[in-house]
Amino acid sequence: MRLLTTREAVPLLLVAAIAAVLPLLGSDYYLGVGFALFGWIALAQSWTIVSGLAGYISLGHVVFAGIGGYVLVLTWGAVPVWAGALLGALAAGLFALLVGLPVLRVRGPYFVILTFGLAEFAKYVVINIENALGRFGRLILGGPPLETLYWAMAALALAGTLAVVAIRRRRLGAGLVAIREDELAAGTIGVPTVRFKLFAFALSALLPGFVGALFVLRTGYFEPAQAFDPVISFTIVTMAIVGGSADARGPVFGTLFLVVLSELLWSNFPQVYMIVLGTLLVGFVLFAPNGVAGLFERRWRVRGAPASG
Amino acid sequence: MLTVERIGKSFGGVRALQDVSFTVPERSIFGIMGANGAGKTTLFAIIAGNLAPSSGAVRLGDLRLTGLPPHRVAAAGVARTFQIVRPFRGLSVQENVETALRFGARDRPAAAPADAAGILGLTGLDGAAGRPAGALTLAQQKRLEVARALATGPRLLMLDEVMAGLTPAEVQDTIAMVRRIRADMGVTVMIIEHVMGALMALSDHVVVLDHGETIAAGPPAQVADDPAVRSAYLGRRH
Repeated sequence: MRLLTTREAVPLLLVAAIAAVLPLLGSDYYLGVGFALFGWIALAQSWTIVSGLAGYISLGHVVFAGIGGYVLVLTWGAVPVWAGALLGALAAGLFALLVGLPVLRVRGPYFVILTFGLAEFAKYVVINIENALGRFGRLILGGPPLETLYWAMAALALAGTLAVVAIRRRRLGAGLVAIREDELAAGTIGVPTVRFKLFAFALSALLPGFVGALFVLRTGYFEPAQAFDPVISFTIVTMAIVGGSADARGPVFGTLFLVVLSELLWSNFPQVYMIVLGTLLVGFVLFAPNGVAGLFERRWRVRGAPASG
Repeated sequence: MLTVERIGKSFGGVRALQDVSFTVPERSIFGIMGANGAGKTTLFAIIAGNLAPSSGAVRLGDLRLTGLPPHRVAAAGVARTFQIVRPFRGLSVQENVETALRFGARDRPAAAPADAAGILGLTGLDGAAGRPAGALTLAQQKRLEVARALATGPRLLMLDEVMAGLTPAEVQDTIAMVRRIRADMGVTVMIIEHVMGALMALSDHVVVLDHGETIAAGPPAQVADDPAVRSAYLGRRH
């Protein structure tokens, strides 16, 4: 096996280093920030598999986290905590497999709208089920302590980063990129487009299912409108765009940048917090479509070997 | 090796192909002629599995290709280029070829080049390996179409107007390249070309389509003298 290249090693080491350092600061505040940071990294990496590599932009990725959280509370008490979280991940993957075949037949803006609509649809189904059962929010008492959740989430972030690195190296990754560049041409040179897209979609749902379960364990509370909140989907897309989604670096850079920035803004300038974030997103889309990772690359290229043409 | 059996294709009420049948012999260079709209590219799309025919079937040896998805046709050893080029624009020329090398035919002919360098050399793209495919000239993108198709390790290579828009010197280079592909790799070639001289010079067999129907078939010299071909190309005498 080939050694890790810089662009593969940097995100992996960065995640591992942050995971190792934060607990040393000895405060629950940092563990909480780290927990959120790793959650977003895992979500953004998962999103990158289907949206960054294959170019199918999902605006409904929260649905997988919501399903994971819901399965966790449904199985709460019946199975051990971690088995419940694992079941949540599997349920999210299964859901992706089931809806993937029809959903992945459409491309571009239609796919974006369809994934958004599907997530909203799932949210209202769960809301109605809960109402019919007479449940208005479910409390989870006696979940694992924050430190345990922190390490679990760090492991998911590392797993997501590793997944993107591994997929990019394999035939699957090459095929997904070909699908993104030109799906008809990809099929014609032999890429099994339907199978690859479906597989990528299911893979991109597994970790978010797990993350959703951990989110519920952290808040100790499940409420459908919150667990399926579309803002979570928007945030995933924002982080991937700010970071650049061509490889595993983007989601790590983008998430780190946004989480740190919003923590700083939130504590120092709560009034302008959202305004600054919105301006940044517009700025990145307009001036740095390849994100933070792309900016680094450009700087490096200018200083290293000037790109010809 | 390839048999086209009574292929028909209608788009709504428009008949693009009607009852087209022919056999492509192993290791031949097989030309397909016809005016614009004669149905040549539609025929390639049907053979490659990009389009389903309305009637008829295509066979590669004993294998029925009709009904298979494109990637299975590619796995069987059939590759095509696109007349309107479709490179993977965001990838480099080298990455385009490497991607095709990782997919394509299940059983590659022993003589098929196994590395990108060989293919880029053969197609004259070695100087552009690192450039993004989207930044190439049209002539280079046409060559990249050939390079990517070759990289799939085909037994049958379908070339759709790879010489259109080239200078006479480039046409000569391309003719030499096609001959080399057959001679060195033993690949059977089907070729659509508007450059008549090139097609006549290259082909062992020619089929002429007119409004979706076969109006002539045979060796180039014989087809060129065919009255039906002359009237289709030069107009009927009134």
